Amino acid sequence: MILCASQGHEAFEYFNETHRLIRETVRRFVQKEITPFVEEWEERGGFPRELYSKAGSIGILGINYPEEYGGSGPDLFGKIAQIEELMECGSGGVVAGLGSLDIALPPILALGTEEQKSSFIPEVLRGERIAALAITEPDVGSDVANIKTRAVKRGDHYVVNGSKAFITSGCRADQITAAVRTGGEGYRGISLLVIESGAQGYSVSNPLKKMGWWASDTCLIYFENCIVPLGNLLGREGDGFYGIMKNFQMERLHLSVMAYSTARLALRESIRYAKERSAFGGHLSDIQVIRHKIADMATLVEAATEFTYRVAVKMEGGLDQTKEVSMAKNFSSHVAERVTYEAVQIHGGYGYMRGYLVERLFRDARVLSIGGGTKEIMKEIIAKHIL
Amino acid sequence: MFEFLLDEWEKAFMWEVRSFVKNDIPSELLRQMDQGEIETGRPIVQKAGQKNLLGPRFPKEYGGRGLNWVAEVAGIEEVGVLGNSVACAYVMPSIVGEALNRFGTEEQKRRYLLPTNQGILYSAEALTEPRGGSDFFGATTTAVRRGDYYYLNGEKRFVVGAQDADWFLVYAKTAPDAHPHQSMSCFVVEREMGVEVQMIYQLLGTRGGGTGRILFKDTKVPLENLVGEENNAYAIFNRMMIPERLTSAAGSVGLGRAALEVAARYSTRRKAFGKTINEFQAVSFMVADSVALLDAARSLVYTAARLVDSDADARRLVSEAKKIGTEAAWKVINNAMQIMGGIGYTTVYPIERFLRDCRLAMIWTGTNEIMNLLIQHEYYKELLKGRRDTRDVEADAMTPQEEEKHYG
Repeated sequence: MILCASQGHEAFEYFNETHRLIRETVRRFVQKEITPFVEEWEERGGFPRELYSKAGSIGILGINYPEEYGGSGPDLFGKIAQIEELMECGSGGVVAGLGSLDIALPPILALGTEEQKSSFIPEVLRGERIAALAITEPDVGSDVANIKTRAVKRGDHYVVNGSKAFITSGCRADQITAAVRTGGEGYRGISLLVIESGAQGYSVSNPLKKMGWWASDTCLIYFENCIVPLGNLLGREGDGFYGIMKNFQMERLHLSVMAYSTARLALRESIRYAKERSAFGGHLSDIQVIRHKIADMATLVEAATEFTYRVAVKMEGGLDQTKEVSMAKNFSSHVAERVTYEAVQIHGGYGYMRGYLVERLFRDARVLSIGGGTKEIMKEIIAKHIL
Repeated sequence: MFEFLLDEWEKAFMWEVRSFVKNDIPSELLRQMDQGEIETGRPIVQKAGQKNLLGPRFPKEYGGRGLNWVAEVAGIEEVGVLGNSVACAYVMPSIVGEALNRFGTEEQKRRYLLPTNQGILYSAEALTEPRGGSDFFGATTTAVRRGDYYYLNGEKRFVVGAQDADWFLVYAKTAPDAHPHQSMSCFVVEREMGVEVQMIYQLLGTRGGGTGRILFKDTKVPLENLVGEENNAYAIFNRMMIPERLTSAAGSVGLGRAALEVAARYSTRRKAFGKTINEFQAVSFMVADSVALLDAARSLVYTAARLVDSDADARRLVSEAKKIGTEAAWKVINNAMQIMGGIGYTTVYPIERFLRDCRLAMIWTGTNEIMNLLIQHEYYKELLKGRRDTRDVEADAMTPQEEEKHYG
């Protein structure tokens, strides 16, 4: 029952018939367009740009976006179903790369003018343009209020100087939603600009090599007297920090879904392997320490999944879940680490070999307690709410 | 700080290894190994062999230094900072050497042990088989004696050094129908005798050692290459597990130490929220946990080494050292990555390599689950056979009525 998120849960309160159709569409897409090529893309460190337009053309990218900009309307559990099914491809990198628009677009939706929304959202949802979010800098990670990239108003444009680090989809993004400093120090001086990659003074580094998420391109972006029209400012000057923080809630929910999905795949592989593998005159699944490991893994996956659903349903109902979504992200990413660790252990030497799914899941899991706000920052947020 | 546990000879050896590690292994070599551009540990054993740093506890006439296990683990911790693959190459002569030094003939020691310790021959061990990892004595590779030779058939996998080793220490069934513990023999098999490399694995970490699957197809091994007595590999295997596990434990402590150093130094330089991040308890307490874990692990490694040096049965402590040493390193490296944040996940710092490398340590040379199997076994044995010369604390209960105690 618990082996696949699409089984067992649908009958209960969170998912409906629409979500089942979404799952079927995404599942077919994954089976046809992603799974057969995942190994190759992982080794190569990227997937073809066409994947965006293929996903966009059948509406996968528009789930949970307003209809007037090409989406299929707000539907958080449709989004969760989409992420769960995409994760079935077994590559966190593909899902992160394909999903970079989900962190890049929400600030535009929240703060942008009608004109900005119309020019920066529909093409991205169709997969014709790639969007990325750029907040982290080489010098500044968790301490977002302290970012250094500066935008100075000159005539009808901003002149931007600085750099951004660890930008998912950064190497080939057509537009980035970037945090810049337009005012003084601290969080009040931060604004958000949409910067197009064709802008004068915009350049990107080679892809960074990472421990996991190989199929997503991650890079540094440099601004050297980069010219950005004033019309690309989202909201007013100084609104940036609020836009970023609001955005983080949804990003963290998505990461929580990615995390328990990673764990779920590792669990499924482990169960299969334990039942097949012979040792000591029986199968691994006959050995108590293995059975109990798997029981623990399944318990963790189930708890992380259900907790995340609960937080999501409350978010959908309009409740502030800042604290709870931070807990969900931490709990699920812990579960992902724990479960992928044990999955490698159950596979023994094979689990350490490239080409085995659990080896990749294990590498991909580690970033989940760092990206989108580290485990420690999540704890700060939780503590602030309850102390 | 732990140097007070070492005598002058042991300390001198550790310093010599430390200086070798600092000066003689170029970073580029480590990068090439991690990228799989080099698939052999030969450059490592050559360099270390030239300085007489391999197998230090073996007698001088066989290329060692006549030192002990304590000196060796202190040295291995130093090598451990270079990563699992280098450490593995460095300790292989100590592992396969144990079999030859204890059970081998004079001729075998001259022919294999000496040049291996000198770094002239590059050695490997072939234990694991596709069908059985932890279930070692369920092996299926066979050796059949005909005339002046044994004929080996079967395959071994996850053999570090498969690509390039000059000789392999191989376990094979010579009495397939006997009790598993009396069914196997141990051989020195030279590559020239017909060892076929089937594939080289792509690994999560511990890369560049040419880890592969090898095949024996009527491989002709001269009778004199049998190590110890026929069907007596069980004793050799048990003995070899001491260096296997103690070296893994010591190397892991070094790897954890390396990660902690990088991350702790970073934490004193990296600023966030107006101060360096080591001023946040969330960071500095992770450092404290890491320091304590490594010190505890090192203490256990040294203690186990001392016990092996005293010739007592060290099975329990060696298993504990392997389990605790590797798990301490794992936790410390994860803490280090957490302290470094996103940049620690990239190849800009070596933490991600340490993490990938370290993951193998809980699997190889007997998974940590197998360590648990041994530890509880030894503990129960001691508990149930032991003299009861300690206080009977059970009787200290508030109401120790014997008639209320039932055991099913």
